[in-house]
Parts: sequence; C-alpha cells; structure tokens
Amino acid sequence: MSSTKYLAGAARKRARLNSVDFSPFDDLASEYDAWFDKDGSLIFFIEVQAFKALLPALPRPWLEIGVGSGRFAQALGIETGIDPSIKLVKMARRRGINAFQGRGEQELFDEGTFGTVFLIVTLCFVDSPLDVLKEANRILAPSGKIVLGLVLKESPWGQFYQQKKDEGHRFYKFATFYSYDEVVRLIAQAGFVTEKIISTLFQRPGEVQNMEEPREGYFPDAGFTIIAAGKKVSAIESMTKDYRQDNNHDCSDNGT
Amino acid sequence: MKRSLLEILACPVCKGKLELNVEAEGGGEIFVGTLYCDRCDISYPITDTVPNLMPPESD
Repeated sequence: MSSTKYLAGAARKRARLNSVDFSPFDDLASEYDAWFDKDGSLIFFIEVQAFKALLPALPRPWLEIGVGSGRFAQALGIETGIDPSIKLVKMARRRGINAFQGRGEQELFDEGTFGTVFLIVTLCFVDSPLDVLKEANRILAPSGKIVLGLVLKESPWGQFYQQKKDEGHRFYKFATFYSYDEVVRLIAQAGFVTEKIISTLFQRPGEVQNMEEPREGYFPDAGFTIIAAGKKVSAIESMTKDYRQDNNHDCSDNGT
Repeated sequence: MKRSLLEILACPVCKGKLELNVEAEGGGEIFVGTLYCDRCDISYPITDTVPNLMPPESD
C-alpha cells in the first residue's frame, strides 16, 4: 500500500467514522463508574462472588463484550474487552484491561479466538441480543463458553429498573430487560446449550445490607442471574469426537 | 494498544487482516496510529492507546 493512498483513505474514512462513535454512556461514564464505589459497592461484591465458583472451569482467553469501565473484568481477571463508549474504555484500560472501542454485533475478531465470552449486564443494553450472541458463538473456540450476568425482567430488581426506565431514568431508558425464558430461547437460537445457572442478590432494592451466598439454579426472586452456556456441538463434530475417543480407548485397552 | 492485539483483530466490515500504522509508540503501547483495511480502504484510528473499531457510517 502506498503512503499516499493510505493517508487519503485515512482522512476520508476517519471523517466518516467520527460521526458514529458516540455512546450515550460517554456522558454518564463518571457517574456510572462511581456507583461501584458508593451505593453499588456491596451489590457489586455479591455479584462478583457469584461468578467466582465458575471461573476455574472457563477456558481462556477471555473477552468481555460491554466491558464498561472494567470493574467486572478487573475483579474476574478478564484480559480483553470492547465497549462503544470511549470514556468507559479509557477507564477500563486504566484498570489494566486490553480494552477498545467496538460493538458486540460487529465481527471484530477471527473465528475461534476466545475460550470464554462474558456479557455482564450487557444484553439489556445492546441493539440486537441475538446478533451479539451469534457473534460470540463465532469468535469462540469449539469448546468455548459464554457467561451472561443478567437482571431478569421478572425479578424484583428487573421490575425496579423497569420502573426507572419508564420514568426516563438517564441510564435505564436505554435498557430492555428480558425474562429468563426469553434469554434461554436466545441462547439456544445462537447455538449454545445452557450448562449452569447461578442466582444471587435475593435482598430487594433498597434493602441490601448483607453479603449473600449464591444459589445454584434459576430463582425468579434473585436480582442477579448468571447463565453459563457452551457451544452446541454439531452432529459431525460430535461423531468425530466420539470416534477419536473410541480409538484412544481401544489403544489403551490393547496396551498399544 | 499492544501490538499483540493485532493478531486477533479483524476488519469489522470484511473480516480481513488489518494493517497497523504507528504514529507514536512507547512502553509497549501504541499511543497514536491507525488500523487500516486495504480491501475496504477503511482506516480505524488509534487515539490515546485506544483503537476505535466502531462501525463506519454507511454512505
């Protein structure tokens, strides 16, 4: 590529890019991030603790779509993150996350790049949840996992935030909350099989005073639900895997 | 951004490889530069170490 062509292209295309790289969270970044140190500090800690039991089994490398200011990524050890908000991305980078500006629906990575993709309180803010989940599937390795952190529509916290949305709240007016059934359906449509569900935050909005132990399974009264799912293995992949396992088994039986 | 990020990134439009052009670099980080897709003739800026891979506006 000649430098002249590059510079001309860069100037032209950069001008086009600048018009679409704004996120509504840019105006709210400091306020959003401050929540984790103030009103939300115990809630954040409860939610982080709920992820902890899952982490050792999740294959690396890890990506968080909707990394925000990097709070969860830092706490959980997620290396890479994307987010549309430049201000939040800069905060995430200061927390040591390899973060950059991008949207979950975009095809930003090669196929099979990651072992695990996290979407933590992100599905409710994306334009197309199914497209984001399908893209997560594409960039995951064959044995890859997605881990969703969700505020479900039917939960007391989902109803609390829905009311704020209805009142035009500066954050939640951008959110769309989904029910457990809707999320499970989306996960299946995107080519995943649900493997584990963890529920926590059983204390109601405005009443969170104590640390909680997470419970395994789905509970409609939980304020925060984690769903871990694996990539659905195609019939051919499954047969190939079985064939390899059978052959290995035969070899060991024969002592060869 | 770190140079190693280039190994996993693809052009969001055509999924092709991106070419890194560095204008300022130090301490293992690229501060200013671009990620360029020759096939699409689109340049994605790197500013203050942050690559911007937001979708280009459609003409």
